[in-house]
Amino acid sequence: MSPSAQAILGSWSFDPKIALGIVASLILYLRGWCVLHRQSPTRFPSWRLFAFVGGLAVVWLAIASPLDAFSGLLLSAHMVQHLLLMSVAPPLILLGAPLLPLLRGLPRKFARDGPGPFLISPALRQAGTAITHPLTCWIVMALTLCAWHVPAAFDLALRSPVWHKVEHACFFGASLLFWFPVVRPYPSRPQWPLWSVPVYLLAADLLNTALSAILTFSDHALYPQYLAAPRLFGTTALSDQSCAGVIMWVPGSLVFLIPAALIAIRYLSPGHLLVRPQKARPNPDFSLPLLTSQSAAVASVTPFHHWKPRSAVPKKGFDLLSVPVVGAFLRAQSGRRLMQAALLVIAIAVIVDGLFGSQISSMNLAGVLPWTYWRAFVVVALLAAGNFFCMACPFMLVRELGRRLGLQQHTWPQALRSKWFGIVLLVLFFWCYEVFGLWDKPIWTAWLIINYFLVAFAVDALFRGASFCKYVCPIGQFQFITSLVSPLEVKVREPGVCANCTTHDCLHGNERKRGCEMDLYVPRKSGNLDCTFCLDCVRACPHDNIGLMAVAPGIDVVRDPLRSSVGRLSRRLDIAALALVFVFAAFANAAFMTAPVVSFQDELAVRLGLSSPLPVTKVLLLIALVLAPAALAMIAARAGRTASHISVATRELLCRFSMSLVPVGVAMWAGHFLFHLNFGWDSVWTPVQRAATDIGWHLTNLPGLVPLSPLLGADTVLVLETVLLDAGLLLTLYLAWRIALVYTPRARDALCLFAPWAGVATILYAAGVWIILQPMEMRGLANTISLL
Amino acid sequence: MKYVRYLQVLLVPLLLELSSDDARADGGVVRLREARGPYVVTIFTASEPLRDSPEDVSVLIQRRDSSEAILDASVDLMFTPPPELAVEPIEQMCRQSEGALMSPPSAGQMTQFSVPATHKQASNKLLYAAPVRLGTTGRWQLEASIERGGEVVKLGCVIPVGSPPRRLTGLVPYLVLPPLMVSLFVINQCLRPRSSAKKR
Repeated sequence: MSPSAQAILGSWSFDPKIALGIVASLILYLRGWCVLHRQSPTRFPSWRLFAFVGGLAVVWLAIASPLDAFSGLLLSAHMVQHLLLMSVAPPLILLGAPLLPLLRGLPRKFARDGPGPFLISPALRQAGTAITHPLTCWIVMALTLCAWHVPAAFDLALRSPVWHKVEHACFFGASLLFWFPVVRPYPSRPQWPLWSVPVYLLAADLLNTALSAILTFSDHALYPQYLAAPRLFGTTALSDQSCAGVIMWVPGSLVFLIPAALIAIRYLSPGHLLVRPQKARPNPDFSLPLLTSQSAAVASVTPFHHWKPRSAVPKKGFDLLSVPVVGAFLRAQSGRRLMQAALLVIAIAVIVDGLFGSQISSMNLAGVLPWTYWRAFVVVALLAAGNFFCMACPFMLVRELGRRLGLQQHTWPQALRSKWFGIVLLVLFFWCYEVFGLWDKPIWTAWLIINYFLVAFAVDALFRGASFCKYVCPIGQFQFITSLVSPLEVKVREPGVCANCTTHDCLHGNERKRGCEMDLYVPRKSGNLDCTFCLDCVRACPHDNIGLMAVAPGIDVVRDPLRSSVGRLSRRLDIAALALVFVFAAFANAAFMTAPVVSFQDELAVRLGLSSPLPVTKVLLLIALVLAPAALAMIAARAGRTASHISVATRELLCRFSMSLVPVGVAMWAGHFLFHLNFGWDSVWTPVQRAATDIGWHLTNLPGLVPLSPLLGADTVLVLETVLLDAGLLLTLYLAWRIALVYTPRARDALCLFAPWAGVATILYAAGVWIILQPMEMRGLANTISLL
Repeated sequence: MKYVRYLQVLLVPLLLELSSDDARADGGVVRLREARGPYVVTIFTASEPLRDSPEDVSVLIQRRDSSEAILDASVDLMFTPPPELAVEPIEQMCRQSEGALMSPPSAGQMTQFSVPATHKQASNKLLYAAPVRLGTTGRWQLEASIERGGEVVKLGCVIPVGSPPRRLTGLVPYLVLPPLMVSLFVINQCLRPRSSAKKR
């Protein structure tokens, strides 16, 4: 093969957005088709699957193959690309009857509650009927085809990649509509008789012929972009245009004529049963008889048919412990010990380097590992899976040591059996972090970790149970709140098995394994609150009935059952306060590193005649971490109660709705930590090399002192942070709305109850967007950059 | 269904790939088309290159006699900033504060620099392409140096680089998302009681 041919055939491109769309559609379709094929193999035979997959493949071919790479240079290549997008991919996709498989491919509950009401709405079905009416479809297609072939529009698409995508989207969307009355994908019903379809196609062919004739016979190049483009393969702009016209004319016409002929033959065949169109009224319906009771056959394969509670046997969800290798590793006590040991070694390295190493934070492991890496990895793990840091916590090892001393004779004082002590420590930590610049003082970081080990050891050596984790550890409290939006939860697999269990080993333990030290009885445990993912319950359960199951993130806070060892959230003001501190600290922590806030503190200090901005920082932090959350939550709870006229205590409303703010707080923490990780992702090599040199090792293979380069571009990180905030806000609003509905079924009252909390969430979101748009300090990396 | 689960794993790298902000759409507007020596050289850029944005500059080299694309040349692109270049305080991105540095300054180049253009960096493998970030607005000078068989041909053109939209403007599609989703949810909630009442 010649080099040119190789180059042409190798000119594939990759658009991740399109690829993501295609793969996601394929997964949804396959999931749904597998179910429907089992239920109704005649309705959903294998050829439908092949047609759909073929349609997606043609879309991919059109936009990723060399056709796309050459579409800006050759009109003929561009024409083939359009032909594939308009005349080949859409009918294939529609032959796959995609509506039902795509719906069934969605999670059942989401499909029922999300698109479900839209699909069964009479008004929207009527609109759907109008849109898929053959006349509408034909006109939309004709207008799209003509409009985009106007030279100004075509040239705009050639100049601008964005408009090129819009052009393709228009062609593809209009073609899906155009082919709809022809293919009549199940379960749509024809609105015109079958004999009209050949006429419909022939009319389209007439238009196609007219346009292609203009292209073929024009005596000048219609599109200036192609006139300016370099000529390839010995073509001229005019010959290329004529070739494009012929492609549009001949294969383009065949695409209309062949189906027209086949349908005409089918219509005229003696055995054909005339298909009469359904009357538009009284049940106008374009595609969804599935949601009416008209057709039992159709109903048997509807996505909603089986969504009533089917049987007492619950559907098993994803269980991480069932995954090969990973599950076995997590279950094994030695697996946990291995993770703890690894983190212990890192913690010791951080302590030693913090105490004895360079006190330039970016040159010290204590300045980089905890504040750039650890925080980000912890939040990513919590968002992607669950509370895995507590599982691998190195402080647990010294706790074990303390426990083995046999001094555990005391019970944790009743007065301290709440989250208040942990909240005070957490606020203190956030306050010290800003005021004393912990991130910039490796020796302080080292002492912080040493004290953590000492306190963990002392508390668990003297007190029974996991008092340190439950009542003291501020990191633990942070993780517990974040894990409310984690997708995994330690949960019972089959509730029926627990109903017959009399030993409750998961709680009390047995002679071989200990039970839950946090006093969580798994069958009555709800959510991740207070769960350290230690998996002691999993190991203790004699029925192997506990897993790390997938759950809908955050939904747990909507319910208010009597939770084992936690009680009802509506009665736990301390947990609500913890959630509020967690949420507001996320925004305060990020805001205090932005340039405007730093300037504001400086200015305020000057105005007050202070020599240092530190007192201002201290006061502002107290306001941000304690006063502002308390005041806003109180105002929101009172306002909601007054406006909705419900007779529920303000305290209870505050307790319940404060939990709904957690997602937006998690989003801000995640955005903030990922920002640091992104810009300092390779900052570890400098302190590692320095520390190694200090102890006499010369690591020459490490990158060493090189300029820090971000993992992702600044704009990409900004988008990522915004998307996280979007997701956090939307989940917060959803949870608040669901909680409001718990108190009142009337939408108007629920709205009054919900509105103040939605306001608080929106203020936080706006603050978050403002923060991420500000220039930020690269804490801990500054000195490296200035050294370089 | 087992295979569907495996297929789902594909979504992860695709999601990660979404974060890539490299420019790969070579081709675009013709900035220069000139016959020089034995070649006809065409230089393409985006129609409106923006400061600090990843932009693709691509070059097509053809034989003057046959229009056949030449694939074995070595192409270097030298960018010279506008003569009136003055570093504008666009945004207060870089600032010393109590020993700390604000987030990294503009990633775009501000001084004269040279990059090799290769087929590997091009989508259309007949072209030589190089992704660049130009760090200031104005009329940049581009000089393409083509070397083949010991013979060097140099051509130049001007690339007008415009200001990017404000950072907030770039976020608009993402900021519109929450109101849009809330609107859909409101419609969903309005439709729900009616449909269930109708069923009853």
